[in-house]
Amino acid sequence: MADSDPPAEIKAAYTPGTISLDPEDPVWHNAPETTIIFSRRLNEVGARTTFLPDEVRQAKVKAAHNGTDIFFFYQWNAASENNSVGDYPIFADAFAMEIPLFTEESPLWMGAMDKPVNIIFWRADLPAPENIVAGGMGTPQTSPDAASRNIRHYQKWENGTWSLVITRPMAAASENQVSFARGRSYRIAFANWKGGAYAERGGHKIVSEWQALSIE
Amino acid sequence: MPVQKQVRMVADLNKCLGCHTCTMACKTMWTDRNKGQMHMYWNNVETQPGQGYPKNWETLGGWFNTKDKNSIPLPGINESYGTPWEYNYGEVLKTNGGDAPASVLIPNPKPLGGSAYASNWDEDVGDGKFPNSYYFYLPRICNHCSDPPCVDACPRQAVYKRKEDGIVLVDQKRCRGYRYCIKGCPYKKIYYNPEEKISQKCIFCYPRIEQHKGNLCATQCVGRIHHVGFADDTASSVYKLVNTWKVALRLHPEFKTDPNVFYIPPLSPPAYTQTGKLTENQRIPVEMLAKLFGDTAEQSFDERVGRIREIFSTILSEREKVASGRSSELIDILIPHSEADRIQV
Amino acid sequence: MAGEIPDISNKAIIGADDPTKNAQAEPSTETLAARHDRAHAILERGAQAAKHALALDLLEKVHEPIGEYPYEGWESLYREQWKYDSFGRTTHSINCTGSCTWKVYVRNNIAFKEEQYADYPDINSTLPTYNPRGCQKGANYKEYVYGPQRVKYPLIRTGERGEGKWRKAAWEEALDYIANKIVAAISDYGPDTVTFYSANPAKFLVSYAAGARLANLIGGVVCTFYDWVSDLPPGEPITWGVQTDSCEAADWFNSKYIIIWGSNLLETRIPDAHFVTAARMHGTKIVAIFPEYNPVSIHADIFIPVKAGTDSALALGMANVIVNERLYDENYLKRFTDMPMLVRTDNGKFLRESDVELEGKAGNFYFWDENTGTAVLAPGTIDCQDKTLDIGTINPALHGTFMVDTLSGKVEVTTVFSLLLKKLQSYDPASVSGITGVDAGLITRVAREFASAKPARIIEGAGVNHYYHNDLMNRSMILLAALTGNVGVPGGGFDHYVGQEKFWCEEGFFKLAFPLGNAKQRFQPTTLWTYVHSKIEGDPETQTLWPRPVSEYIRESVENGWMPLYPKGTLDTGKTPKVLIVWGANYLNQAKGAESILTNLWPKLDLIVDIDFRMNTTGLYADVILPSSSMFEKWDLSTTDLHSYINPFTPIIPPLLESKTDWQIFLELARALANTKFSFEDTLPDGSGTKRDFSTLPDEFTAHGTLAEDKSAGQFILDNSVETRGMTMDMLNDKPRRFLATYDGWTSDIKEGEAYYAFQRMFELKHPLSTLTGLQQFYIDHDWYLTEFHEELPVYKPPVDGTKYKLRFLTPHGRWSIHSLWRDAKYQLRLQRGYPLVYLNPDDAAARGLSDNDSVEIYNDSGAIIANLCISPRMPEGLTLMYQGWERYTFKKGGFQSPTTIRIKPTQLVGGYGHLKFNPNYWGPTGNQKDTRVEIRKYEEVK
Repeated sequence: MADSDPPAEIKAAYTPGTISLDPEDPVWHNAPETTIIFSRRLNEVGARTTFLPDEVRQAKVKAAHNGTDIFFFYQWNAASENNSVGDYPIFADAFAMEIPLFTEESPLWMGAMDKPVNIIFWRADLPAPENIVAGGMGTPQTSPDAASRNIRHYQKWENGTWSLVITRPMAAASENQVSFARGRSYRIAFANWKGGAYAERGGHKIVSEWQALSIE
Repeated sequence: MPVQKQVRMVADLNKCLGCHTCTMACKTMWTDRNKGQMHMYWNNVETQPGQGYPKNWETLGGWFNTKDKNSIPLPGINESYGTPWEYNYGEVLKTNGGDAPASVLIPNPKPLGGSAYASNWDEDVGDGKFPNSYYFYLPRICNHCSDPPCVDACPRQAVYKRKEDGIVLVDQKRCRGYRYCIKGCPYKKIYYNPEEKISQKCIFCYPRIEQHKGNLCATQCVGRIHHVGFADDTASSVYKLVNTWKVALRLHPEFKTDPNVFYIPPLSPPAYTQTGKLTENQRIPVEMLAKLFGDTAEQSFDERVGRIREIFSTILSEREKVASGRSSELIDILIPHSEADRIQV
Repeated sequence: MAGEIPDISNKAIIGADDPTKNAQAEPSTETLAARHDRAHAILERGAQAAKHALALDLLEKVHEPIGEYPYEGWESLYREQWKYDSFGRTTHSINCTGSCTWKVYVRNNIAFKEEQYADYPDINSTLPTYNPRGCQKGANYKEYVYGPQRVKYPLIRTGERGEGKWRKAAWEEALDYIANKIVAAISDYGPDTVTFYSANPAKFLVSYAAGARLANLIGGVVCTFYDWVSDLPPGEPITWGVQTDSCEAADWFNSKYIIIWGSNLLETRIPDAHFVTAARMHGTKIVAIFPEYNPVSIHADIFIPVKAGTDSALALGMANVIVNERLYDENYLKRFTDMPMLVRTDNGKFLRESDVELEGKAGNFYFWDENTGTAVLAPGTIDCQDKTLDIGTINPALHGTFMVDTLSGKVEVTTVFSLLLKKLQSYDPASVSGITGVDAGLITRVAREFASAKPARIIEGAGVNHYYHNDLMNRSMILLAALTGNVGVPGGGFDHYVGQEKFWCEEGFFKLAFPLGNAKQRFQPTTLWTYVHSKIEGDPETQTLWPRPVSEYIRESVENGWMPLYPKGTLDTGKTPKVLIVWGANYLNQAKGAESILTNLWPKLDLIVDIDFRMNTTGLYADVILPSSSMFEKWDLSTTDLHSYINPFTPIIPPLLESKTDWQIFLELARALANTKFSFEDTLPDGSGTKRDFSTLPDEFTAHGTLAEDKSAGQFILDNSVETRGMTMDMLNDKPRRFLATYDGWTSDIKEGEAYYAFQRMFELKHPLSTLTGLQQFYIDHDWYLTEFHEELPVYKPPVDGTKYKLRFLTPHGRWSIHSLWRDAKYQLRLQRGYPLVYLNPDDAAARGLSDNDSVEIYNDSGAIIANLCISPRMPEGLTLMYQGWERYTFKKGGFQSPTTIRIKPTQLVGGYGHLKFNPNYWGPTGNQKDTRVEIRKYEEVK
């Protein structure tokens, strides 16, 4: 299905000045919107034997930067808000963006040992998105260095929609982060987890194909 | 790569006092100082027959004994563990001075009604009809299985089995709180910390085992029911009880995990007839015990019944030997003199 | 941290969160281009190199996490938690009889982990050892040290008693307040209106002595505890002339047959229960006699479900089998019991030397010597010069009727044994089966087994001792042990365990606690004091049991000087106590008849002081609360009858906040009293007069400064006791020591390599007991016993709780608390059901429409309580059970003693009869409570 779709092009437009952590910020008024399709599931390894109904999810993506910080604005439909992992059977909604860390391309499924990926992982219960590095399935890890705790966000669930704004300094704060350079283009993929009764977590998720992100 | 050594524990249920000193020794060391651990009893003691902890754990299933792994439920804190209640001490006791706004110490949330629960909820309740009532105590820690389903279930391989002693651990750095291990474990001996958002479990007191000291549930056992040693140490009392005398059985071996905690099944005082005459029959139905205990996953129920009868007969005849002035290696092991007699790590 | 209990989270203890989680990396300064170049260069060399050279914290995939695991570094997390700066030794001053030595680990000045020390020296190489020794409660005493229950400052009441309104006070103010009230009470009403109550020196010898010493110096009244809490087995003083003497737990292992009779060892003697389970594995037959299938029953060879309160019938039924089948030890009975002693058939009195000889003594008694066919004086009696039980060539007749010449002519005499045989005939197994519900064949079988197993032992506990007729139960069971020749031999006897009467170092303790001497101390049997001052009217059941109302027996006893009642003149002038000082005890919570106490006694008191480390029911209803230091914060000593060692408390951490040790608190109170410069003339119980000058109190309290410190007070006890001569507090801190010898108050020597057991001096050394006859005395010819009570010999009398309410209400000791202690401790409560719990049989519950965990009201004419219901087939029908100790403020209504009342059995008011004379905590009326019936109904909260 999605294999034949051409990758979407996500453009991070350059807007000098302050951009606020707010979906209402003027920067988003004119920013191009790209729709990403989550079309792929992996059943055999991650969650081993989880079987999920065929399902296609979508998210709308916008990106912007001001030369120092880069912003991503995501919106997707979610019938319910799942923002807690406070009990054994409770799982939170989550979203992630994955970019090869220092290679041009990495395997979609969490990269590989020699082609690691950098992931920004948001989960509705966490105080801040996490900077993750992974080198293959089962290896993602939140970067332990304090420097890479430089990701801020805005989140809101309303009327069946999650709105999520994520920002990070463009320059890598440590080895565990990808640097966003102006004029460059990156491969980027997305993942989405439905919490609640869906209990999606870890490898039990739905992902997009590699897309392209270009920084103006 | 297989483990080099495997630590094992045998619990002699004929000596268990149901005192929970093991539970408290464990709790006050490992799970009373961090948030999210109040409901955790890495060591718990439950009255059998009873619902156990978490509630009805025996029916929840695990990685190797449930066909549809998706159908394995995750126990909920409220319904399966019982929400850990707190008390309004400050309101009632006023030890700092002031006016007490409340006069009754009340647990919150209130463990009231039919759905309330806690780790020892069924204490001494048991089954049967008086005077033939019956119950016994079953202390449980992680079984540190030789074929641990929690290890298999974790997609991150954050659960592992140490080569030096076979202790099964959840890597507290690597764990991301997916809770597959909890589904995987049919004994429900992995706990989820909703504050730290990761899973935690019995560590067999490895910082002590590394110093050749016993795990706290065993060393602190006032009933002296625990024997701890390595599976291949033929001089150890665990080896003698499991391999030589064959009086110790696994809990639910049909769960196919090859557990390394063993139990000597409990004798019980004989039952009475309806007219009040004392019979020769132990009051705990052997079938009830055979549902719990056996040697291997493959063993049939009838074989388990036979084995339990055989164990009782071994213990009783060795006991008789000692009563009549002869000696018995088995009884010597079952009445350990010092800690060194029962803990060989 | 001033003014606050320290935080005891891992963060506070370790000084940081998980140290492994805090690794910090410096931000990269490398340009992106440079990094890419480097990365590509490294990639040529492989993935591992990339990972390491780039300083990525990149996890590798673990393919098979069984065995090799590359990320063990995190394991330092738990190793770090198991690190400590230091450790120290302590025990718990709790009336549990544990006296267990504990090791407490300290880190960052926080006592964060308790572990059983397990270093008691072995008695020998074959007995199971005392190591480890402890329980789940002792494992978490720290919860109280740092918990919200801890009293941190002196508190003075601002609202009504029990209302819970307090203000913090400075020590000086609180002590002056108390001192002035004491002085006012003494000057207005006399020193015997100032009353001191604490429970049990054994659990904290120095702390107990602190309050008693001040009472002794100011002329105050010291209340008893052992009889009041009904732990005193009156049958022991009656039969043996002792308070209680029981073997240490290790001797259980020496028994071949043990009847565990109403002693729930698995719950109430957790540190010792293993001696029974080990003995069982060793071949000892274990018989458990209880009305319900309780935890100790599960490890028995035979469980005998006796109808509650009919235990003495069962014992007498067994005695019937033993005498009728001649299974008794005839030789033993002739030498060590009063069975061959002659009794006049005309008046039921012992034949006394004063009956026979003009100059004869009333305390000399006769055997019938079969060798000579004459009545001969028995050796070892209370007035006999020969302090031996050696009967020499006498062959006392056990049975028969004989004629003897007396000053008033020929009199027919018989033997105690003959009278006993006659008495026992009504206790045939069939009749007893009808009373007890135990199969007649089983009664016979157990009697035969008990009589033939040597040695055999009965372990008795509160399950029978808390009944109104506890003396009869004790006497019936002791009879079984004596008939079979088991008293005084290792592994045999009747051993009673409830409460902790045995503080081995009695001599040293008494010298410290009562420096003016015991004879000059006003001691008060607390049951009598509470009964009278709380205006217990007496329930219909016990009032009609006896020829006269109980109040008449009380008056006669007090007027005869058999039992003291303070203040003097209470019965005639209505004088009342004015001051009550409670320390290290929870008087109000534990008191039977709690409702009457609050209604009638409390308003009489001008001052109630509670000294404790935690808030409790007594504190809540007191006027002043003084914060005492915890068991981690003081020097003290502890002993128990369950083992033969002494172990100390030591200050592992300094007293938290404003708390002080009991010794220092009473010293400070002595100083506050000295400031009043009060003095008065006092007439003491022994008739002597003295002038009491408070200005010298501190000097007297500290023995001129030599006892200013807790540690030196402890050393004083060691120095002045035969058990511990040559020991020092520091030596005990190094390791608990076994006692070296025993003082006269105990009935046996302590022997190297042997477990202590009772009555060795009687059996082995032929030392007379302190009874009237010098023997184990089953026949009491006191007038009241003979003519009013008909209890000259053990008989069965049913419980006295009437039939108005259907369910017998038992409040036994349980595993989750020691009285009120730990009843409000969260970590213990989380292992229960969170609320006070009452147990009921499924059929009884169904008949009342009750479901498990329902809120129920338990009520009778005395009071009502609300609790939660636990339905269990362990309970027989007609019985309900609530483990005792719950604080009053854990109930929506009432307290666990609300349905109970105080019932005085007049047999226990007797004095002036040889060994039956008032002796504090040795002989006095027991405050029993098991003869209580209630009804239970569903409780609906009124919204």
